[in-house]
Amino acid sequence: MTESRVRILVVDEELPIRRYLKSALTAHGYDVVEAATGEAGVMMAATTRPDLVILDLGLPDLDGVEVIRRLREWTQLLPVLVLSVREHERDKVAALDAGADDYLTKPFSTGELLARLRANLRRAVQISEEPVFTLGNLTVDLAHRQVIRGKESVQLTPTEYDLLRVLVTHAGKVITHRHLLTAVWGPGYENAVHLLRVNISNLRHKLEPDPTRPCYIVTEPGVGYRLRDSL
Amino acid sequence: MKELDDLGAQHLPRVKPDNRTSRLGSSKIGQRILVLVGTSPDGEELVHIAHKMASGQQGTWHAAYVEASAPGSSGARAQAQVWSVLRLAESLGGTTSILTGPSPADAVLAYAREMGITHIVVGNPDLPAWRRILGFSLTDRLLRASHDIDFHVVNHRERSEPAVASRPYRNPGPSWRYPAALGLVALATVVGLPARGLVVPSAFISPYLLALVIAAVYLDFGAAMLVALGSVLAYDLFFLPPYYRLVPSDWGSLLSLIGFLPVGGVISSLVRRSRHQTEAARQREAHTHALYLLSRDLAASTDLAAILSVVIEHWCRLFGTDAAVMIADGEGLRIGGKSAGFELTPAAVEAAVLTYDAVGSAKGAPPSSRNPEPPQTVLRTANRVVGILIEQCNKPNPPPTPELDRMMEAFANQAALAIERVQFAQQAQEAEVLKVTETLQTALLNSVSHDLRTPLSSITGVLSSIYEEAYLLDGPTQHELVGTALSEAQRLNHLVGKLLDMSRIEAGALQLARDLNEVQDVVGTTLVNLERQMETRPIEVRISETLPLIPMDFVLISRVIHNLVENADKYAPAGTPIEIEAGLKGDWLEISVADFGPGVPDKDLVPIFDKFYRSSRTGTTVGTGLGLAISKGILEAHGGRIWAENREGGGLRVTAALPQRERTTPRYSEEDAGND
Repeated sequence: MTESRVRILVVDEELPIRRYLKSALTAHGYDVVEAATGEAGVMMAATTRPDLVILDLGLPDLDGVEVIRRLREWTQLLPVLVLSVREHERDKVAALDAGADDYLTKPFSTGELLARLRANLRRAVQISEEPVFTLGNLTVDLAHRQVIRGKESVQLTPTEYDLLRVLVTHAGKVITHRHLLTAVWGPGYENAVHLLRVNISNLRHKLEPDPTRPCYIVTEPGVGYRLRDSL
Repeated sequence: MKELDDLGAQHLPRVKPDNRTSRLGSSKIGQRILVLVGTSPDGEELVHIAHKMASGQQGTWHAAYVEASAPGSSGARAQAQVWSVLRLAESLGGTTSILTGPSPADAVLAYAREMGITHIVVGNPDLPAWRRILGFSLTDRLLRASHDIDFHVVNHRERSEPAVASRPYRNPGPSWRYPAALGLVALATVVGLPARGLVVPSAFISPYLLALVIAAVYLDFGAAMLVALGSVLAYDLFFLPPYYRLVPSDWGSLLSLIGFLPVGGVISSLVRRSRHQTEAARQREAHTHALYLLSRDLAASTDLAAILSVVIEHWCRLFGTDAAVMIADGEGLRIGGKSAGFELTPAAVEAAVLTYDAVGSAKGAPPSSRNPEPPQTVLRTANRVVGILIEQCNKPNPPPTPELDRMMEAFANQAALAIERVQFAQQAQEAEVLKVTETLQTALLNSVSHDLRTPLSSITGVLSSIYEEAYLLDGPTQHELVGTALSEAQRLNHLVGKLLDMSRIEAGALQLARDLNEVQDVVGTTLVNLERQMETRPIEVRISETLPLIPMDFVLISRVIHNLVENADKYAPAGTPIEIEAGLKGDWLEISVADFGPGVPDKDLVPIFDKFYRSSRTGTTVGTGLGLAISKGILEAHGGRIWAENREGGGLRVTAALPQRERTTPRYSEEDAGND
């Protein structure tokens, strides 16, 4: 991030949405550039070098997934936040698997928007710093492989720890089932959903204040999980 | 008797030269004419005459064959002639009947009285002179008995061929009867021989009488005659002195024995007649029974296929031919069904189509529904032609009789009515479905229109206020207004989502993304989403610890729980808890949501899952009425169930049951499991 304001590229066909996003984001100190089509979006991403892209999946010319693919051809780090509709979990998952980082379901409130932005912008910063993650009464020290809840140390199995680690390094952002499974268990385990369920359940029981109402590790229905970065 | 040359449109008087006279007929309109058909060859002519008479005077006419007259002695050829005459009568528009009864004259008169006959036309049978002189002809007997009916006797002048069987002749019959007859005589003789000489000769007449009666009853007329003759001879030879000599000394007993001849004749004739009538009655009863069976089976059939198979099966059984039925639907004729042995040739189909077209376009119905060539029967009701039944005869046909024709026609009528009934029922059902669909659509439109526009009007109101007159509103007011608009917008979003869910379920387009999921997770996530709405509502969750992972679509089941909890929240009084439980029951995972609200009347427990249903307890509560219907659709897509019950302690419990193993209804599709 440079000294100048954070630049957000908004790629959405609908003028009213673009207008709203521009005004809301500008009011919060962001610099906003716009594109109305996929092709334009890809081009603008290359020319204006934004810090984050807000990408609507219902573009007229290119499939959202295609836009992401093209972006990812030359940048792995540029955060991409997709906008989608409630019924289209499949599209969300496809976008996330293609390289998007997070999603917002329309209609969303400005508060949700800003929270997501913050979570995803932080990624670029956090990659090499901050091995310690805190949330509520939970502290995870990645450097020392320590997990502390309240005052006590929590014992996790290696698998559970690995799972937690992946969640922490993506804190605030959604991670798809597939991503979690391949990251923790390896390729070939993309469909071993039951492993994931069991381990998430164990983590919740060990870490959450109320395992029946998880507030740290949140289920993203039909998509994956998200470790919140703030309460 | 006066001869009648030509019968035109005029009445024709007829006068007998003897005492028996008839009144002069008068040319009144609406006469009812009865023509008696017999075995003489002038039957056709008689029928034509009657037809002309009737049409000339705009009356109706009947043709009848009196059956009791010398039945069985007529032979097959004569019978066939009678039948063909009767068919001719029918084709000309007359009503045909076969009259039976011990006394032919009585039978005719009874029929005439019943039908209100005003004129009877008879032929002049070629009876042997002695019968005519003695006044034994049917005509004479009728004349004697009737008082108010006119008679017309037609002599036919030309005789192109000799009268067929106008005199009785002996039925050749199997040849065992005559030896049997002789045997009877011998037996009667032998029985009496031991007592010969001990009693008067007339005592020995009784065995011969018995033999004669036996022969008359069990053998035939000819055999009876033989027994009579043989008895006379045997009696003369063996029992009348001088024995073994033909000429008796005492003629008295011989004469009485000779009197046996007519006795035997009469008994035999009576027996034969009665047997014939019994046979005819039996056959009629058999036909009636067959029709009864048919109508019974037809009444039990509820769809077209069943009816057609009943019709074809009964036809084949009854008439002995293979049959196929072609049904007339909107576009023409199509094959409805056929019997196993039937080979449907294109020629037969074409012939059927021709008949159908011809019948369909003809004005007025021809009297007979059956064509003999090609063998088809038109199935018709008062409204229309329902189909054509085609026959295929694998063996030579029995000669068609009016009785058979009548049977086939009755059969055809039954079949046609049944087919029409089924078609009407189907139409009625379709109309009903259409009606219900339209009702639902209207309800949908009304509901959607109202429920969409209401929040929109709030939003528009608030926004237009701020847009046009922001200066009039102070900060806090504006803030409040905007808050209202925001929540209305959320409500609108909620409703739109429900409508979309419902329409997807209706279209069978619900796609399940089934994965193994933790019930605890689904419930927990749902409750987190509801947190803001349910801030003040105590929610108790009891989920069994040891639940396995269950295959389900997370998003959809979460929606179900969301709907159920929302409903419970709507109706439960403030402060009362909502209880959520989940546990295994056999092969099922059951999740239930219960409240302490007023519950639902028992009769509504099932209908609440209908679209747009708002039970009597809704009153002022807002809601789309779709939540439960959507939940039901989702559960069904999973192969599960959902139901409601009033629970003890008050309130409603709604339970959703999911199968532990994967199960789907065919309407719904599965996505790839494990797509992430």
